[in-house]
Amino acid sequence: MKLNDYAVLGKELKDTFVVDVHTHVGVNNNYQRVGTDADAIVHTMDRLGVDKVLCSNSPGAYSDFHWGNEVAAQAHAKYPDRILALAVGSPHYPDVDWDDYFIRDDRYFGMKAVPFVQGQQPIYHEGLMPMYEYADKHGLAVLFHSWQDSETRDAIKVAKQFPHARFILGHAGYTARDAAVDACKQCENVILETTFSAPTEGDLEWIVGKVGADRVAYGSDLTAFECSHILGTILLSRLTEAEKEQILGLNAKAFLGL
Amino acid sequence: MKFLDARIQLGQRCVLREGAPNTTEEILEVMQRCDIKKAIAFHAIAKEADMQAGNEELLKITGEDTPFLRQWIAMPSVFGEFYEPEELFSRMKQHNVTTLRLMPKKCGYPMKPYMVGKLMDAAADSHVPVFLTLHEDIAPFELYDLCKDFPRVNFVICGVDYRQNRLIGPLVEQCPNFYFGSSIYVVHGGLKLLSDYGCTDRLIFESGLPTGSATAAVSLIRYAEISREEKELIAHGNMERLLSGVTL
Repeated sequence: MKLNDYAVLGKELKDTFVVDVHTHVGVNNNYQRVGTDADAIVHTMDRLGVDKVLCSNSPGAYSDFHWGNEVAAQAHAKYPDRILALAVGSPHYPDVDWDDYFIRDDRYFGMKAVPFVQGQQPIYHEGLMPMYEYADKHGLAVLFHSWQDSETRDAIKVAKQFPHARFILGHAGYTARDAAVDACKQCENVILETTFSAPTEGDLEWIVGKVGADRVAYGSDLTAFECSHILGTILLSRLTEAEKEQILGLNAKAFLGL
Repeated sequence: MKFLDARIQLGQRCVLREGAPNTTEEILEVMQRCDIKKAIAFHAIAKEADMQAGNEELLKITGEDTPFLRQWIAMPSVFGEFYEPEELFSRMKQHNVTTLRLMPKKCGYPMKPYMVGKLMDAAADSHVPVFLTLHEDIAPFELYDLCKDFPRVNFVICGVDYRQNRLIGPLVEQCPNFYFGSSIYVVHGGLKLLSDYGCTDRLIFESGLPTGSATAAVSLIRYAEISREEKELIAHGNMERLLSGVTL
């Protein structure tokens, strides 16, 4: 079967490596409070044929990120081959000993920075520099919430300053489209991610046309959102089978060393 | 599975988005790719500029040889600025226009009986569904009063986003005339929740093309963890049921 046939039939993908690089575990008052635990994530992954997810705790980002990171780590511990935990940082708490996460704890895969929900702080923030420096030193992946043009422009500055870290620009290619294109052109250590609750038809083909299919990775924001709608924009797009496979998982595999 | 799309906009719009389907031909290509066999359509001019002129433009590009079901945008007649309901519905019958869309926020009037009472009475008498888009046309917390103020009118609220899920529960439970569009109702497991609570008869498939995504919208339905019968209801059955009741 071709990839679009799976979408037409609503069947889980088979024989295609699929990675969702943007998911969340845990209850958040801002969203629906049911269907947000690790079991629910893996149930949905199985239904759609998703092999692995990068996963952070969303509510912790809005509050005590250490508490939230533990929720993500427990999800990884329960499903070590499926859920890869991201540790959230905060510009308000720069003195984190990241060895506690990545040396003395083996449950974390990468980092997440979402300072927009932490008092609307910018990505390029003095309080986040220790986190980026650590990622750079250890070659870690960092997922950004890069919704606005200013966030994406900040992400470019960070990516240039810390070239050994790998940065995933979340929600890229929908709102701050030109900045996302600039990020790919200027930074080899950047990849774009597809999460959006209300996409416009053709956005995926547009961004792929600008930056190439090798610079875009599937992400959904599960469990804040359902993940099938973004999957559908890939499977039913006008892209080639090879391009779809790159976006679904091969790019993430290469970029993140999975 | 075939889809009846409850929200498509045709015609040249003010703001173009590079990469989006910007012409009728491009919209038709997307519809074909997504198995959308029919679509309820209004005209960009009617929404963005002059509803009367836009409604006339819609007639020129839709008809029996197209997959489009005509939707007019309307408003209450004040100081003679728009058709009185009797004339409006007579014209709708003449041109086979089976649904109405209102834009109270944009046009600066409240959806209250003193303002739209005559128009809503006419819609109720002919069972014409009335469409509004959430946020653009009406605020979430106004929906309950809307449905209660006009209990004989079937309302289709488009663009209900994932953040409204807590509001959906009491609305579907207490307002039998409340229906809502599926395009960005991207709650994780949301359709299964509706199924568990027996509410899938209220969800109406819509893409929101050309600014929405049909590939996303159909996938949300096809991958939902609900029965085939419920998917068919959402994809086309619920809207067909509303349209079958129209008696212009």
